[in-house]
This record gives sequence, structure tokens and C-alpha cells, in this order.
Amino acid sequence: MLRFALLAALLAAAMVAGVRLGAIGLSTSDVLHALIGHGDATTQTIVLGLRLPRVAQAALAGAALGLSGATLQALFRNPLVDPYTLGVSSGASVGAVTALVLGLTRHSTVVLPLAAFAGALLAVVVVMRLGSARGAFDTRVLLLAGIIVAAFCNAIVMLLLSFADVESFRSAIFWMMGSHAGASGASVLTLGIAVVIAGGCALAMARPLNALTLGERTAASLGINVKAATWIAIVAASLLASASVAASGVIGFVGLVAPHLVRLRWGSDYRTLLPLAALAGATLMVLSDLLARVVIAPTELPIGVVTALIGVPVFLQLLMRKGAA
Amino acid sequence: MTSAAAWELNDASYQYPRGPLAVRNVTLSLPAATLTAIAGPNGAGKSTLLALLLGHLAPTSGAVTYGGRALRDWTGRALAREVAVMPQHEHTAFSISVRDMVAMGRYPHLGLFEGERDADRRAVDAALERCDLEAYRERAVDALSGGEQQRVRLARAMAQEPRAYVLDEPTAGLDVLHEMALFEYARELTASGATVVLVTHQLNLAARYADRIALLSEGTLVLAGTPRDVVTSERCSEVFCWPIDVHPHPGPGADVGAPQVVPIASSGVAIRGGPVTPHP
Repeated sequence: MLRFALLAALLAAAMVAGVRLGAIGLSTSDVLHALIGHGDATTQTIVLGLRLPRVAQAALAGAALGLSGATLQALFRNPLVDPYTLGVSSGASVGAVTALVLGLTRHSTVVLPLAAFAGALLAVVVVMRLGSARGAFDTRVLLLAGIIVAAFCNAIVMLLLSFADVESFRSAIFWMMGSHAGASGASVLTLGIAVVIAGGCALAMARPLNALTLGERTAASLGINVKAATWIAIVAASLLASASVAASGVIGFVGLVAPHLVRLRWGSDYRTLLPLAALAGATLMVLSDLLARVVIAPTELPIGVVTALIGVPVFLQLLMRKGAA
Repeated sequence: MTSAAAWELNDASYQYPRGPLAVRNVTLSLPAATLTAIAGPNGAGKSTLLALLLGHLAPTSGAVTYGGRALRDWTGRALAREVAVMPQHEHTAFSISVRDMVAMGRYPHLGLFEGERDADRRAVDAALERCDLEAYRERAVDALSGGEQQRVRLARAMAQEPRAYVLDEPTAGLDVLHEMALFEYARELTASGATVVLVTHQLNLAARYADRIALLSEGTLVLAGTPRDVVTSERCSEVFCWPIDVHPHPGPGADVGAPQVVPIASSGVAIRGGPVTPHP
């Protein structure tokens, strides 16, 4: 239980810092006043309208990616798998870039996330059809199908971009780099619902996932309904990743590293790994978003740059220490 | 053998889709509370037969029942409370402790969000103790030797508290100590009332420890019966396509007289360091 408290406290501290710090620094009392509807209007706008949704979206997206990555790593019995392995990110990119290039995003703010979400799901459905062509899921075929569909989608993105005007080209590149700047109450609510439902399904699969890391035959001999568990886990992991990408674009590394940070420290029992990976992913994402905003404020760094620049050394150090022990 | 049958195969066959007929018209009864060894050359259909016994494959014709019910009528969970499997190979994708691995044997007894109860912890502890793994509780399974890992898998099967065990080539790649220990465990399980089905290439150990041997060849059941009935020079030589002598086990021990196979070397091999006479 200590590890849950520790990570929850870390996440809470990161979120508080995320709301307080930025181009304009706020004191804790400023934030508290704004939260209960007091204080000046500017502070209220910054806290309630900008930073709170942004921090909440970052936390939810990080949790979604952490859960999704951990789930897929168990299904594929492969530590190199991440939430985008099934084609989510490249499918979402096709959806988003198509909407941007066709100019569909000018009229409404919901078009871009919807297009990204639809693209992500379409790619996953194609990958799953290819991966289950012979009746049952074959994880090796699924993995290969993910890579192939991603390559195809990337080609479509390049093709679309070569027809794009300067403005939509810029928007597309920024969207693909990922950002939480567009967070709103609505985006937080949508993502929150997805995380609660799909995340709950993933958590319910903790024991089946544990058994599946030993192979399908062993899982079956332990009474696991392999087919049902695989389906539920894949659908849940895809929804989590797609919802996250729809809200904030393609942010790499969090979904790969968060589960491994937890594994290295606390082992691979999925009953604890899944919730801890969610907390670790959320913390990592909130901190990365904060750094992206403050390092060269008021200009923002792409958050993907931060997740990789921090994530890689931290991860390597843990890996080395583990290897030396 | 008068005890009731645990498994019953009635004229069961299995043909792989667009593949060979791997099991042909096998009628075989595996009695409860006995140790049955399934033996035969590579490709004889042993693995397919096991898959039929476990319900992984459904017979393309004929019937396979466990406890009087067709395998397809068992839910995975209900069957897992009755039958535990010790697989031949198992690759752990992520590091896992011995205790956690053995505790997976309790999965068929637990609800989706249910935590371990006292009975579960007792079953896990008892299995660890029986397999002499208490000192290894917190060790990572992938850091153990092959023999130790096999013991962990046996402990997991025991933690399932099943009525029957299916051991798929449990001694493949193990040294004499671990090989003997596993057959002793199998015997112990039978003594405590469990049904044990064991696939093995170790004809000699099977003849010493098993109550019954089922000999397969090219998908058909050659013969099932006591080791003395099944393990004979003529039959073994024919099934394994190699000249094989059979001698009674000289003892000491309770298994004096068990038939022991001695495959005969060709005349060209070196004997006790003597010169090698090449084949003409």
C-alpha cells in the first residue's frame, strides 16, 4: 500500500506544481482562492480555464497510456510493446491530418479529436482483422500487422502533407508532436469517462494478464477464458490509447516507460502493476507538460521532446542499476 | 484396476485442418487415482492426445470425457479446479517471484476482484513446502535452474488442489536427481488419491513408477496396460524401430522386476575405450 501512497503523493505534488507554475507564477493561496471562486478574474481564468483542465488532461492521458502500454506488454509477452503498437498513433495521425488538410477543423473544435479518434480506431480494427485472420488471435501476426499498418498510415500522412498549404502543414506537424494546450472541460470529461470505463476493464483483466504472460496454454490451464480476456484487454488498451491521442496528439514514451519504471521497482504482478503504471504515467505526463511550459516560457517545448529527454536517462539509469544488482 | 475412469476416450480421432490425422480411433480409459504414462516415438500423437484430454482440441470424431462429461461441456474454470497441467516449456515474459507464480494456481478458485483468502495462502504454502521451495519464495523464477523451475511449475499445479494432474514431459532436459525426484512426486500424488497422466520418453522410469502405460505409434494406441504387459522386447523394438532388449529391474527397491529397456548398440561402437571397428 505504501507504493500506492507514494505514487499518489507524487502525482498530487506534480499536479499542484502544474497548476501553480507557468508563464505567470501563482501562490498556493491564489490557486485555492480561485478554486472556490474568489480572487481576481485573471487568476480565475488562468486556474480554472487554462491550467486545471490542462493538468487534469495530462494526468488522464498519462494514466491512459500507462495502462494501455502495460496491458499490451502482457498480451504480447513483449516488453518493447507500447500503446501505439496496434497502429493507434499512425491511424490517429491520418484522421487528424485529413481533417486539417481538408479544412474541416475551422468550424468546430470537436472535429480534430473526433477525426483522430476515428482514425485510431479504424487502424486498430484493420490490425485486429489481419491479426485474427485465421480465427484466433496470433500475437506475432498482430505485431507484424501493427507495424505494416503504421507504415501505410505514415505514407498517407506524408502524401496528405505534400498537398497541404503552409497553415495546415504547420498545424498538422504541431498536432503530431502532441500537446495538452488545447485542454478544456469537455476534453477532460470525455477522456475521464474513457479512462474510467476502459481502465476499469483493463484492471479487471489483471489476473488473466498475469496468466497470459506465461503463454496461452498455461493461461487456459489456469481456467482463464483466453479468447475473451484477449479481446477485452485489446479493446480496452486501444480505447485508452485512442482517447489519449484524440485529446492530446501523439505523445511517445510515456506508455512504454511508465510500466517499466514500475516493473523495475515493484515487480510485474499485474494486480499492482496496472494501477501503479496508471499513477506513474500520470505523474510523468504532468511533470513533462509542466517542464514543456516553463523551461523556455513563454514559448512551449513540444511535450514529446520532454518525455523522451527525461524519460530516457531515468529509464537507462534504473535499467543499469537493476542490471548491476 | 477396478477404480472409476477419470478420462475416457471412445474411438476418438483428431485431424488437423488440412493436416495429418494425428490421433486415430483411440479408445482408452485412464483410471482415477492411478499413474498412467503415455509413451511413444516422436510424432506418435502424444501431444495431440494431451490436447484432447485438456479440451484444447475437440476430437474430429469420437468422444473424450472427463468425469463422465464431454470436455466441451466443461468451462475452463471448472476444469481448472479439477485438472492441473504442468507444461513442457514455459517462458516467463517478465520477471516473477516463485511465490507469485505458485499463487497463480489459485486463479481458478478466485473471483475477478477477489483477494487471496486464508485457504488460498495455505494451499500456496503447502505446495511450496511439498516441493521444497520455501527458501526460494522471493527469488525470481527466471533466475532458477531448469530443474528448480520445473519444481515451481509442479508447485503451481499442486496449489490448484486438483483431482488430476497432467504432466507433459516433466523431466525433459533434467538431470538424474531432478528426474528421479519428479517421478517420486508423481507417485506421491497418486498415493494421495490424485490421478496422474504423464507423457514421457523415459520408458524405464515409466515402467518403474507408472501403474499403466499407454503406448502410441503413428496416432494409434498400440497397447495400454501394466508395464509388464506393455514393455516387451518385440513391441518396443517394433514401435521405436530399433532393436531393444527388455530385462527385469535387478533392484534394490520395491520396483524389483520392473521391465527395463536396453536399446542395443550397433556392433561398430567403441566398448570401454576399445578400438572402434568401422562399419563395413
